Amino acid sequence: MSSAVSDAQERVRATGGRAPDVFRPGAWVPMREHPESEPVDFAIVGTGCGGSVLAARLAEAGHSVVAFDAGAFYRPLEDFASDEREQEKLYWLDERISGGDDPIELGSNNSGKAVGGSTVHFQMVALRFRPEWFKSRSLLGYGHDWPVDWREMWDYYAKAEAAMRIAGPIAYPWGPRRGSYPYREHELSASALVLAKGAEALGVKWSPTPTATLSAPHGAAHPCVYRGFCKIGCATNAKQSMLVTFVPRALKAGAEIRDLAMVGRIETGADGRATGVHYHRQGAWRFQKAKNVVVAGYSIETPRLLLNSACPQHPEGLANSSGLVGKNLMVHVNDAVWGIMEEEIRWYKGPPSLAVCEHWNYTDEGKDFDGGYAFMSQGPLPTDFATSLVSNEGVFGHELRKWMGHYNHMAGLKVVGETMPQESNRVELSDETDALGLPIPKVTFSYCDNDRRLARHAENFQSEMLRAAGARSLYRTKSTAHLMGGCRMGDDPAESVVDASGRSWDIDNLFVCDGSLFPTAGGVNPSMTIVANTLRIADRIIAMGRRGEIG
Amino acid sequence: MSSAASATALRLLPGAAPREARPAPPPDQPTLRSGTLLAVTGSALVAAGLAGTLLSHGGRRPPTATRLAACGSALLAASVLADSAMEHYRGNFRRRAMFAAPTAAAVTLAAGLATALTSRARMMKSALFGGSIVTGLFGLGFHARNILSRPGGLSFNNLFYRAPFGAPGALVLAGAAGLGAIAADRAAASPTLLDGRRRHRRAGQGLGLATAAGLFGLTTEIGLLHFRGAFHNKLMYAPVVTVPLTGLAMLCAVIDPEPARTATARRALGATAALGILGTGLHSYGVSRNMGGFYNWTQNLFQGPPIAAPPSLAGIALMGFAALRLLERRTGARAG
Amino acid sequence: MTAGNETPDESPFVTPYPHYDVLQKWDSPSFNDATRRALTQRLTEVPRRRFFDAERYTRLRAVVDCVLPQPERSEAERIPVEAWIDAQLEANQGSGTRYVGTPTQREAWRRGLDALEAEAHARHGSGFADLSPEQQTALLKAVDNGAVDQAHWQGVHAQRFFREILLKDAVKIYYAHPAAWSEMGFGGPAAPRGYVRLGPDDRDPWEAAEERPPQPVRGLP
Repeated sequence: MSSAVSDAQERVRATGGRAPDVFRPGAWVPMREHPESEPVDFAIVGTGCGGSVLAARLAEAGHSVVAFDAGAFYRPLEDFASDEREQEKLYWLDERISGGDDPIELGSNNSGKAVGGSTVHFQMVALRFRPEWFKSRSLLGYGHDWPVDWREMWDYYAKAEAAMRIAGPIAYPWGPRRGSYPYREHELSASALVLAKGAEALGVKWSPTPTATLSAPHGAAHPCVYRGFCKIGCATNAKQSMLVTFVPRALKAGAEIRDLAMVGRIETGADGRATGVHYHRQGAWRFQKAKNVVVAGYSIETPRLLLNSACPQHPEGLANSSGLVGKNLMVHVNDAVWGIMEEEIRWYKGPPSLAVCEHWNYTDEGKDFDGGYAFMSQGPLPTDFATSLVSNEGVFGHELRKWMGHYNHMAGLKVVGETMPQESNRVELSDETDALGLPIPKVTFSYCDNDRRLARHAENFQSEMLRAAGARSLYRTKSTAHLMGGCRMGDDPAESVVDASGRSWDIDNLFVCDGSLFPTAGGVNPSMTIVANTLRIADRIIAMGRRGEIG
Repeated sequence: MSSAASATALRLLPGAAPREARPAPPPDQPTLRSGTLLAVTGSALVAAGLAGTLLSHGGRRPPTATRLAACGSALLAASVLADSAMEHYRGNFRRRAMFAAPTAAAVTLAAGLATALTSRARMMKSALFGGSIVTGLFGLGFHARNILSRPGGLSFNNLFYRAPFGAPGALVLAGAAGLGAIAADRAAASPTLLDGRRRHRRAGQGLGLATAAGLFGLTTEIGLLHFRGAFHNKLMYAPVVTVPLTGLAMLCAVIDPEPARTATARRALGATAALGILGTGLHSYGVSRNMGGFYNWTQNLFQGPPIAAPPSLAGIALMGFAALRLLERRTGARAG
Repeated sequence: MTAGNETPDESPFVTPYPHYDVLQKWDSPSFNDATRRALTQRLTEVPRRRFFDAERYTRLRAVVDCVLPQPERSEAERIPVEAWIDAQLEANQGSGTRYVGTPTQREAWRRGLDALEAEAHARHGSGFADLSPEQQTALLKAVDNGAVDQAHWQGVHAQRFFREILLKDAVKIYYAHPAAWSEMGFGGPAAPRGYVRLGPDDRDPWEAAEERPPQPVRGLP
């Protein structure tokens, strides 16, 4: 349904030499444009944590860049309402088929459709991987090793955190030392204090969550006003989404952004190399020539595009000689435990997850599963909470309204739990097509026994903590969050889709750069790892360019 | 395992007291509307000022050092009054004791102004200033408890966002400034030259040490809060550098009030006072650049930066000027 | 399933926040123009029926009144959830997920509503809309428990339709309405003004005051 608030979904905005100024209502910034007939250095598909960061870095290094996004280009100050229903415009609501033993919910749950990608509605939890996870096969005995060293990633995490002004504690209690976060931690909300109280009662460490929203002004962006609508788009611009960080940076450095531009196919030449992208914009299919193509559409759209670009030279889809494109899709177990507190919590205030416990990410004793999990305090908005309540409990009638009457006394803990990479969890193309004639993706997902053991462990531990904090009437809900994998990076062409630089093993001018590169999921929200990994890949591509290794 | 089955299993948990046992929070909390608060605080400032002025009819006009110190006391008290009224309102006045701070500050403000204008009723004014010191000390205790009662205890999060030490500290300082002003007044009225010298010296040293201690205390507070703001504006370093240096200069001048030292201290105090005025402007700008600016004042005046805080720098500088005057009087360099 | 065998407590819901109305903040800094535009449309432009035929629409309304009963509201005050379900189906605006084995959302809604009708006829010999509230509740509980005649459901998974489609769509609309925000004490729109008091039992003057404890919920200890 169309928006009552803005026409960004109907009319392209980044055109005619200008793009929206995200910091000022009605204002514009200049944008360099590139002709379709001249091959640009890089055509980037997607402007989330992968695409926009790469676009900014490559443009800053002097490359010509065009980045495409299927979604609209919003100015948060004037386009975002304090309203869950209106803000559904930020989600990827195109139909996708979900199957398997544990079919995952897509749409609002994990898929964004806007310039800036899912970060426009992410929950801003800005955590790092545990160092050992980058070598989980060698060091911990499960999953796959990443083709990178944790110390290198540690440096890039710091760069990502600096660029996004992450507000976090001065001393983070888990893992190897990291410098203090660039901005100070936020005041703890009542819901965060529930976790803190419970953790202290159980004798485990807790921490204010490193959060990607400003605790002090930065440039033209206002600091957080604790309005609590973070998950449906920040109308304050405090949230450090890609839309207000790397996208403006990319534009300033001379990159072009094309909004409402759905890339449907990557064209390859007689030599099998990529020559550009077909995209649909303003009612017509168009073609942009490019010397290099980067796919950054996240774990479903990236495999979908690669598979849909099959051609005689690449009959199984691009970059798919390993057969792994779309395989090893991972999510996070996102089960929650909820309870009623004596005091008023009013969890709608402030960023929803201001306190975190990573105890079971860094403790290996006492676990009957591989991998780890973090969990955070919660603050769902009314329809978000109501939908999880009815879908898990089937409650309705007066009972439902009474249950919702406890909203201001509710508190909850929700896990971000690592799932194991399994080839059977995958993205494929279905036989059905969408309005543009593109095949609808079909997602298949089933938990393995290890995933279920982790979920059970997390449920028990979270229940214990919530009870220790004084909650009663506990109940739990099941869900998943985030997407990872689908185009694994690695050192072995037979075991991965791309190399450590995101370059596909099969086609030297085709790159993948987003969350689909993850060989393992880790027990933390993925956005900072995607940004850090992209900054790393950007430096590698820039270095390759300087050495003349880029076409 | 189906979700509903496990949900039922999870419900087999010990319930706390039944919901009905919890007294409903008073529906009229917070007690005031923000507009009423501003009106009440503003009227308190005006009323205290008027009271101070009216009380001061008749009597001898006090010496300059007294007037400086008393004005410093009044300015500090005004800052505490505005700040504590707002912050305790933000805390919904959940304890009766939270009314004490703005009340004591208003009384101190009145006493300060009265002291600046007349030498009458010195005993009563001393008692009032003593009262603000006691109130401030209790406040420090309450605020320490407030910090320690939260999960995390003495953590940065609690130091950043729970009750500050600076505000009750400023109330103590206002009381000290007032007592210093009275002491200076008494010294000026000394029967003998020798006694006058001794009294001036002691008043000057006392005020000087209090000023230096206040400056160091304020440095900690400003440092903490500007650190909380990640020094996002380079100007936020200015008070963190200037104020402790001023404290040092004051200390040097107290130890040996030779002219070069007092001149340095005076310049430093001037800089600190200027920062106080500049800071008020900058904090106002800070409020204006928050989301919604002054249109959203019901949030942004509280979200800060606190507009009422920087004037206390000017107040403390006035204390310092008074101290220097008294110290110089001892050396005979200057007539008071 | 959830406390399925307990005696239902069908006493009506009573709000803990009787004097709170989110819309009183309309002209305050808690509302900005974007929010006002979105809510003006919601409050003034209730969509006309376009997708369902009149009979299914009547049934839909009966189902909505059973899953979200609003006896305390007049017809003019009632949140017309069915109107927006109809509009959503007319626009064919999906949720981004179609589970394997589930028809498209339009088809699922049609078949689901018809199955409820068939179940009502099979059990009570009359249409769903003509059943008593107790009979309707019992029927929907049976659907949620999967105690249904598969022949009526044309391949639709009864519980999944009930929870994932019917209930989810209904609460997404109901709890997006300002009247629902007021009854649950939700702060509601908050931009440019957010909040300054974040602690437990702490609220800003522009938040709801709880005047009586929330009612106990059946199935919760």
